[in-house]
Amino acid sequence: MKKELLMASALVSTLGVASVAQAVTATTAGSLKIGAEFESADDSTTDSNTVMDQSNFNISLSETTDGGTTISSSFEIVDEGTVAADDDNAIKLTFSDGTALELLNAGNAAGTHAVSVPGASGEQGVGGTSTNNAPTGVDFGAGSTALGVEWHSAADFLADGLKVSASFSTDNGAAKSITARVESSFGVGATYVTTAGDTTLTIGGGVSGSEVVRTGTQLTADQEGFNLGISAVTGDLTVGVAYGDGDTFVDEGASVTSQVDGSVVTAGVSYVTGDITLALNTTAGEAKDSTTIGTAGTTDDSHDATSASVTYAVASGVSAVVGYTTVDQNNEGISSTDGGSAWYVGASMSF
Amino acid sequence: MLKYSLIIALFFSTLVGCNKNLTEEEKKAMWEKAQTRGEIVRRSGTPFNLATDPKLALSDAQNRLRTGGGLLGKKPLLSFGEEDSGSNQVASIGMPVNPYLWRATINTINFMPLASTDPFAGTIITDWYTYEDKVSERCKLNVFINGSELKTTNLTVLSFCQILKNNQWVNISPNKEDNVKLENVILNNAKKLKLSSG
Repeated sequence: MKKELLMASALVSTLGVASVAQAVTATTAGSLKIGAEFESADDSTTDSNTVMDQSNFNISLSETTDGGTTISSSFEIVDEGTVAADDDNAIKLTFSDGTALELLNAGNAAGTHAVSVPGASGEQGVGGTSTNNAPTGVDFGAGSTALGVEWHSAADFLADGLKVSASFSTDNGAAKSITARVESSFGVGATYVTTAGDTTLTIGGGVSGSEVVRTGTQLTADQEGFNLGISAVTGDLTVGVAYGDGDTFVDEGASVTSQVDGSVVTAGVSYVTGDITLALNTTAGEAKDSTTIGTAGTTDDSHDATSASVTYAVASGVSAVVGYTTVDQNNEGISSTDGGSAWYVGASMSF
Repeated sequence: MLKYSLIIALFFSTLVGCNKNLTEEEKKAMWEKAQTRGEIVRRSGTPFNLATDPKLALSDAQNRLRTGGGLLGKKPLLSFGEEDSGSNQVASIGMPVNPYLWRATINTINFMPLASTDPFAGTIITDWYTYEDKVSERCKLNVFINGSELKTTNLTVLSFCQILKNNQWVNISPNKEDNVKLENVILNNAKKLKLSSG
């Protein structure tokens, strides 16, 4: 039996090479978000209204070889208001045993396994000063460059409910600018999922590290960090909390790059009732920053936000969103006046 | 960095082992509720890359999961090639299973005697087969073709093997890896049949 299988596999592999190119599957997909944002900033006597129009179009190509390996990649045309770009994606190999390998434009494993804490939908936001470097995402310490690989294990790797990933990327060799840049980075991440009665628990997190250079000089303080989170799903209720801690750097323009040593904690809850999803999230980030990169920061920045949203699933791929957020910020140890609140009313469509 | 790594490694190591005794279906259902970014993006079907644009990938993924897919359900807008083309649908009137999968299965396992076939239920069950170089082992196959589309989820191969012990045939654990290999061979044969049919 086994010999027959091997013979059959080998025969099919040999015959199959010529047909691969003919059988590539191409799919198009995309998303469109359009709505209005009403922002009341503390440092302005005039409220602002903005139409938010973000559209993205993606073309994906994939093919499964006779050996069972799926090769896929895609590119997308992105128009997110002020950002319009042609965004290239990774080449992804998915093997028949469930493992996967992303080549080029790969992510950082620490970010892949970060727990997705329930958060408010919508595009509402409140601007702040550019020198406030308090982080808002738990994987802020995870750097990566375009020349990267990320490996993902199959589900139930080593133990039931466990999945792990590892990533590495290296600099593309372009000339160093005056501001700092990631020269190489690594990340490892893991997800563990288990059940307790009717509740599904997800624990995820990872560690990452990067080597940073500035004008070709290796810095003594590199970018690094970790994140850890837990989420519970029971029926229509999802709750989650995550924490991130690490060091990073921020290019603030005008040849200024700041060292940022920060941490962030975020907690959220969402509840689905029929076609309506209610979500509430609070995020608190704080950091000490320094305009001398490589030197530990001394002045305090903070960013505290509370957000809520109501989302209505109108039809397959279409949802209507009402979102609200309120933000308090401190910059360089001083309570700044650039907090505020914002509303968003809009629709999200996926096709 | 070492401190962080040790903390996380210790945390996960204390939890590993909680999922013993779960069936494959229970484990699959458990993963379908996993809440990491990578898992949400994976199961949503969003084409956007978590690495290059995480905000877009997550918001589109959550919209698809919340609303049950894209505007046209779980299928993408347009598809060229195999997965969603009309030629993947049932091509033979009265035959509710994919004809390419059916023919490819028959062709692939034609060295084994057949015990029963049912093209309407999509079942092909072989009789016991013993390979001439290994007379103390015999195997049989149950193949299930579950739908009209040419896709991996519509094909299931289950193998059953026995070894001769004290003049009695004794069941041995099924080799899942062989089942997957055989499924791949059948799927690729089916793909070639479809391509050659124009």
